[in-house]
Parts: sequence; structure tokens; C-alpha cells
Amino acid sequence: MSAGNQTPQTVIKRMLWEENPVFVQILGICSALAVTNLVMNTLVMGIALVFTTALSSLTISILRAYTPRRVRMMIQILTIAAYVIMVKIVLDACLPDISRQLGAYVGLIITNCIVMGRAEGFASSNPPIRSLVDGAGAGLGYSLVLLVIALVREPLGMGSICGVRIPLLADWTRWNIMVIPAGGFFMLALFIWGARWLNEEIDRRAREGNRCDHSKPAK
Amino acid sequence: MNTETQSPGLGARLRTLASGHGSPLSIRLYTLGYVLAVTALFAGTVALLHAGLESTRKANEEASRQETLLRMLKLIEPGESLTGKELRDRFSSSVLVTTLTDQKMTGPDGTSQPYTYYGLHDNDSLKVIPIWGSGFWGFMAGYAAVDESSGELRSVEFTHHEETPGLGGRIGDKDVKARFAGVTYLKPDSRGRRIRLVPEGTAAGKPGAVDAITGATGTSQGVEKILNQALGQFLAIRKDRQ
Repeated sequence: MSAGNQTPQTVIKRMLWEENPVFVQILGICSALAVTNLVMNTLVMGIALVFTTALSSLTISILRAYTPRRVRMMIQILTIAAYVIMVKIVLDACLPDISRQLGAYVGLIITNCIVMGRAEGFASSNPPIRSLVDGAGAGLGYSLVLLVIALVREPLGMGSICGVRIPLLADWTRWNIMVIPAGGFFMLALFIWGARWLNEEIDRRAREGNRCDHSKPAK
Repeated sequence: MNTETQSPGLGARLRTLASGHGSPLSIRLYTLGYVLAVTALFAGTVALLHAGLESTRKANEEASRQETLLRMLKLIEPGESLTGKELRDRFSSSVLVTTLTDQKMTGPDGTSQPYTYYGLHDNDSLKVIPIWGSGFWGFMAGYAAVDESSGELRSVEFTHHEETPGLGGRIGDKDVKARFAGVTYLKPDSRGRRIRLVPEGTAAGKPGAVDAITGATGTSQGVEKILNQALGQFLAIRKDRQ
């Protein structure tokens, strides 16, 4: 992970797809199940997580040379907690309704394994800008998966998207299972299934493509 | 972070200590000082941000409370939006606030307060009364608008609750809130309940019955208890004063 040839693009691509925190590393599941029944809440949660992972990774990377090894995890948690509380304070002041709906989950970003994972696994041994991009990428990868899940759960569970009724689903019988966390389990599993299948398909195509390219000059 | 602004010589020395080279005592002292400095830095930043935004948060809360009350008293047209100042002006000029020091209520923040209800100067029958109690997950509080001349609920708003978004949290949705309008509270049933939350879709035509939220039985039971308790207290107060 600490290979020196990483450009911001490869770091982002790695966090969005190849090592996506949710569907490859299976981290951050608690909040993924809890907040994805409403698209708006998911969006705010995603933004909060991008902010926290990006800035905590940056800060931890800047501090890394000065942090004694034996207290590094305490410093990481402290950094993450500080940013999360900042997000919580700003949400309370600016978006009180959404803050109330997200309830404990914003505060629980502190214990979200993605943030700690990026801090310990990447930021504590990489330069600041690369850590910032890595953190932001991890947050985006998380938000992407959650948004896809929310875009299925909210219409099926409530017949709406972002609280706006979908005319097509006017007579929709709400699936309560999609509203409760169990619906998140099923959706997440389906998503992981789909993503893994797609990944293998891409690999297979790439291998076949290579074979064709090699055979072309021979023709 | 503040260590970086020092001379490079000091920075290099600190990095050496951080990497564990030096006398055991100096490493320990450095670790202690470093943790204290970083803690102070973050705690200070968070405290400053909190102090800076606390007044905004309080003002937002008060504005949204006044807006809720104005809406419930029909002093805001549907679709009309007011600025903070207009809200305050309209609230102070049109709303009749009655505070009873001998009666207690629990406010939205969970503290005990003198009982306060709201009315209009030019309409004697529409009143907005405080409601509070336990939901499924935690404390719920808000207001209920009642029409004293017809003995009917007009609206119910929870300004504070911790119910599951999409299930019990639907108590804040328009279609759920609409279920309370026009429900009579004058005919208690055999168990003394003035308002009953009945299985969704079965309330039509029954006095005092409101469709509950399917999938949120705990919240519905809490709301039923909260409304009956609040109505009981308010009716007792009004009877005493007459």
C-alpha cells in the first residue's frame, strides 16, 4: 500500500473500486445498514465521512514523524474524534432536521473502521497530500456504495427518492423490510455479489482482449 | 502541529525523540508533552467551534419552535415562508402565551418547566398544548393543537424524537400527521383513553381513533400514551380555571 508510484488517480481508483472499503473490505457496515433507507440521510452521511477520512488522514500524515509510536493510535482516535465532533456541531447548527434523523450515526463515525483503517493503514506511513487523497477516496468509495443501496431501498420501502414521491410508485405497497436494517443486509449482499461478478467479468474481458491483441499481428 | 513552526533543529530533535531514540526519561517526557499538546489543540478547536455556533443552533431551534407553533395556530399560510425576524414579530404580536407556574411540564430539552400553552387573541377555541413522554427509543416532545369548542384535535407535531427514520420517524411525515386532524377527544373509551391508535386503515368512522403506523407499534403506543396524558392534564387545567 505504501508503494511510491501511486498517483492521485490510482489512489482514487483503488479506493473507489479495487479496494472499496464497503464491498471489498466489508468495513463501515453498521452505518451502511442504518442510514441507507433514505437517500438524503445517506448523502449527508457520505459527505460527513469524506470530510472526516480526508482531513483526519491529512492531519495524521502531517503529525506522523512527531508521533511516538506507542501513542499513535490514541492520537489517531483523538484526531478522528475531533473532526467528527466538528461535523456534528456544524450539522446541528446548519441542518438540524437531518442531524436529528442521523442521530447517533454521525457521532459513531469515530468508531467507523474505515477512518481508523485509512489512518493506521495508509496515513501513518505516507506523505500528507497522498493521504488526503486516499482518505477522500475511501470516503467516496463508501458514499458510492451507500448511495446505490439507498437508491434501491428508499423507492421500494417508501415509494420516494429524497422524500419526493415517485409518480410511477403512487400505489406502491411499501416494503417494510427495505426500511429496517435487515433490508440493508440483503441489499448490501446483493451489491457485493453484483460487484464481484462485474469485477470478474472485467478481468475476463481484459484477458480475452489481451489474447486478441496478441493474435492480431500474427494474422 | 505547533512543533513544526519551530526551528528545523528542534524539529529534527523532536522527530528523533518520537522515533524512540534518546534517554528513557526524555522519551517519556516528550510523549507526555506531545499528547497534552495535541489534545489541547484539538479540544481547543472543537470548543471554539462549539462556542461560535452555539448561538446559531439555539436561534435555529427557537425559530423552528416558533414556526411550528405559528403553523399549528394557522398564522402561516401553507407555502408561505418567513425570515427569522418576521417569525419573531408575528409570534410576539399574534400568539397568546399562557404560563402556569403551579403546573409542571417537560420541555423538548428534557428539563422540567412551568406548564405553557398557546392560543390566539381573537380566537378563544384554538389552543396549542405541550405533549411529551417516551417513544420507542427515547424521549419525545412536541405540541398538539386542539379545538376546544368542537373537542377535536387539529394537528400533532413532534419537535423532538429519536424514533427510527422511515418507521417510527414517520410520525413527522405529512400523511401521518394528517391522521390526527379532526379526531374527537371528548369520548374516552372503557380504559379511559381519549385518543386510541388503532391498526392502520381501521380508524375511519370510530370516535377518538387514529391510524397507527404499521411497523412502528412501539412508537404508536408511546404516542397514544403521550396524547392521552397531555389531553388529560390540559382538560383538568381548563376545568379548574372555569
